Amino acid sequence: MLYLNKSNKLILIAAAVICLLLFLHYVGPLRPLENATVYLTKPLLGLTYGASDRLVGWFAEWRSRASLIVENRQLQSTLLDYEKERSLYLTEQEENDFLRKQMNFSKQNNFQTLTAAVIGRTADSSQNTLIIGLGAKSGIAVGAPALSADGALVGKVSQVNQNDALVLIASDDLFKVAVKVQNQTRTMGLIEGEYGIGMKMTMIPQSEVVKEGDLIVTSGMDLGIPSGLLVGSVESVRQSPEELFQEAVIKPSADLNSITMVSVLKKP
Amino acid sequence: MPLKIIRHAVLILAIFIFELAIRPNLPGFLSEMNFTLAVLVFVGVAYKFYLSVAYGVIIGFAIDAVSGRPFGIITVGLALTLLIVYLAFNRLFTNKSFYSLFALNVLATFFFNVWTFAWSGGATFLQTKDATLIHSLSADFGVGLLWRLLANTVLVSVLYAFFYFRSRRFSAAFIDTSR
Repeated sequence: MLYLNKSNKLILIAAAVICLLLFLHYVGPLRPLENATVYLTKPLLGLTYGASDRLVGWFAEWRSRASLIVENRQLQSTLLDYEKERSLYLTEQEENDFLRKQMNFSKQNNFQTLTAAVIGRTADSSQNTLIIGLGAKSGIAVGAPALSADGALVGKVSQVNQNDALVLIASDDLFKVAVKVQNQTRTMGLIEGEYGIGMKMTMIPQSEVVKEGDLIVTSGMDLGIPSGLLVGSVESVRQSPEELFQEAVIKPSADLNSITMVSVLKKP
Repeated sequence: MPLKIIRHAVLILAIFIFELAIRPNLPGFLSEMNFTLAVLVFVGVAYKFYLSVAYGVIIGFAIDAVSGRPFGIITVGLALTLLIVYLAFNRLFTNKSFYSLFALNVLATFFFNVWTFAWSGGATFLQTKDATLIHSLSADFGVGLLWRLLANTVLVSVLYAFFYFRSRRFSAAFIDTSR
């Protein structure tokens, strides 16, 4: 007779139960029990699965938030680097454009020019001046005209130091230059700055006809300022019969508010 | 007695719920663990094997009821695995230590997963007759098996650490194999 110890009994019982379960399943009587098992555990399974899925979702969201913050910081830093690069590029492009135009201007007029970067600006009550980065060492002289890239008058050098100089802007009250109108009679006059915001042409004889749109250029009567430098155009004419002279409001050809580089004419 | 039955029922239900509703949502490689198998091996080693067999049959039945595989694969797989573990425990390891638990866990994971893969792979081959597909499935199975081993080891280690400090079940003892 076969001796069955406890462990062998356990194995036999387990095998018998499993075989019975399989038999009953494939024959059919076990189906109701299986269905009942699923039916009874389904709500709890659904609840637990949903809860664990939500928990995983929150965790993933938290992780992604943390990584998004890190990514955001990295992107901000990269953006700042790109902006610096872009700013550098734009500055160089502006300088490039200026130099190209200046080269054309100089070629056309046989002027010798020095290109200077604007390193500062004073706009106090006494003077409206630009500080440029070239001085006496580079050949800058007092009274030399400062031009924009296109050759339009920006102002003239009012003070020179070794390594820098001051350019009095054409809209400053103290600025004056002798000009003429590009009309049939070549009307002569004087350009004066107005309160740092504009220019006017004075000393226009009453008999002269000056129209809106007429171009104003330097007359060459100032020492160190050649004739033909573009100053601006006539915006309006102020006539008064009782006055000796007419006045004209001049729109400057150079943008006097956003100057970053100037060409200073060298003394011939 | 009724309290004991309720305790067992709650434990069986908890294992079943965890296996089906929580384990799949665990992060990373932890979702690969054979939770039921690892717990049954632990119960068999730490407590009594008849308890783990009883649990295995009931939980296996419940999982087979909701499984897409042929009925009985899980139940028979768990039973055979527990038998192999029982024999190895009595004949080879003979003590309740971490290394024997670890080794039995590896053995159980390997056997059970090979069993289930053999059935599902065989069923796939019978349907498709595509040997190349079986070959690539085998490669995936191999990689998956390593992750499962790792996940089961983690679980078993956690259970061991918990019970080691909480009870005396893992204190050194000889197993009487004569009865």
